[in-house]
Amino acid sequence: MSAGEHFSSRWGLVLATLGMAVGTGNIWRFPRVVATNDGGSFLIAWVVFLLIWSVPLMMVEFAFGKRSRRGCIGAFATLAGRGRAWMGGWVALTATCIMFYYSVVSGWCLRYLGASLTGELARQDPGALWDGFAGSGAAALTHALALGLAFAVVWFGVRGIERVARVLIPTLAVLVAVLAVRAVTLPGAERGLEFMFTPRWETLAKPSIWLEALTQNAWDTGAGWGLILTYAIYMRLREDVPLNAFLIGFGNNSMSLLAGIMVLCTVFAIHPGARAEIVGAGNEGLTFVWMPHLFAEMPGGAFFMVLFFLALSFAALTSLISMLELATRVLIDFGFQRRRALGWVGAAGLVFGLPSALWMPVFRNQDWVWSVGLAASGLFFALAARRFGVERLRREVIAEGADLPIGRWWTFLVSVVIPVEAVALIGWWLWASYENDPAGWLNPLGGYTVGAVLVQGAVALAALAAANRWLARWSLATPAPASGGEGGG
Amino acid sequence: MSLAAIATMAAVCGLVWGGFAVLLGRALSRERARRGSPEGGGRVSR
Repeated sequence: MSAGEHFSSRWGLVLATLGMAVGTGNIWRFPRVVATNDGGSFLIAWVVFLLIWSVPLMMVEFAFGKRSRRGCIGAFATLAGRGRAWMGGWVALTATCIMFYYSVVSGWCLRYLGASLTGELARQDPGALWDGFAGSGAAALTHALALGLAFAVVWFGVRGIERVARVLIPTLAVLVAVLAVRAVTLPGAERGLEFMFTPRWETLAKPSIWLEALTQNAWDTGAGWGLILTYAIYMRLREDVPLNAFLIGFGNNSMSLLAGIMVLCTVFAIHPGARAEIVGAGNEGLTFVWMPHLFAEMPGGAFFMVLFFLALSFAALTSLISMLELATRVLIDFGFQRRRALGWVGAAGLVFGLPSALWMPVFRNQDWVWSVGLAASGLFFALAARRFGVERLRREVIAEGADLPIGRWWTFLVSVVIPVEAVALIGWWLWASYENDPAGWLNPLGGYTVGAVLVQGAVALAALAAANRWLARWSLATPAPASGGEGGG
Repeated sequence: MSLAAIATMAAVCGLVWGGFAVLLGRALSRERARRGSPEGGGRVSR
């Protein structure tokens, strides 16, 4: 059945891929990271890395999917050789492990959407609600609900994904824009804008600002996750790559910018004195404890709180859908029928997501380990492209049907700059983790330790390397679907 | 707001949102041209 699956038009592909890219990281992480990294200076670095990490890597992913018409493992085996199937396995494993706990996050968003709709959030202290909910059986139930919703969409294949994206993504954009407009029209909101956009030139000399900006681009654009590769399998035959990659990168960061304005203007207008405490509360603290507090004090806040959690839920679900599709696609390449493959992926997601739903230390551990894993995924994409020939990829795949000419600068970025960025990112994260806990940095069971990354990463790499031959054989066992056709436009 | 903040806001928002708008416009015109061509399955206007 996969042979006939394709996006009906460019807009179907772009909206589905934007849905993948725009997730909770845009809404709950970006504003917090801007606020803790000197605002305007960070934004300058963030725009630079959009251009020298996210967009070039998105093009690599699009090219891999378009050329191979296979999921992560099959694409790496096709383009970089059967001996590199394990690299695709790493990309798929990392995204799938993230799916296990991202479903939990999506469930939190749905729970808070329900609580804002019923007025429960207005009646109860948000902090107490969060403390009673996170890590409880109720979180396991909402994890199952979120996974069930994403499952229902992927059940209908690419057409299901496209139909949902066509509704949710424009709605999400409108919701975030409405919230941003509401925030900037609050008395005192200009202090938030001033804080967000004032550059402190001397901080541009700090490496941490640049590494935080690279981290944000690596996490919230979806570049290097294998998700774009998966959607690119269903591109039309002569579909453009570069313009779509730029469109999605800029579209994603446009949403981040709106979310940053929305959150920071709200914070500065309502609780300027507590801003350090609010942005220092972490992703969950900011979103599920402080934002309900702030909305409660805003005129019409109950209504805008519903919009906020609706936007967050849409962002989370469209990203979760893409993660489910990635793992399903790998199994389809192995010879499974779509719905059987999805059944296995859904069952695995339900079971392996439970520990993160029930125990917050497990959630934090998994979030840390596989976030580092993502930088390695980006590195593997660049290395596999080098193996195939980056310039050859540009000439044979990216230039074909391109609506935007791409020069040799892209070849240089993928061959040299992206590998350096990925290694710097991994090194910096591990060093920061060591500095955070010099006594227990090797503890493999720690929430945020080098040991946790090394042990889980080494086990995964060893297993993938041992299974490389089978991964290559299975992923190439079935004929690749023929390029998805031309679509109706 | 300070001049530096206004200038940075104009530059960052202009680049990101303006860039997105320009790219979207280009994609729209390309798709329109494709639909109008015989290759794209559309009618050729005479």
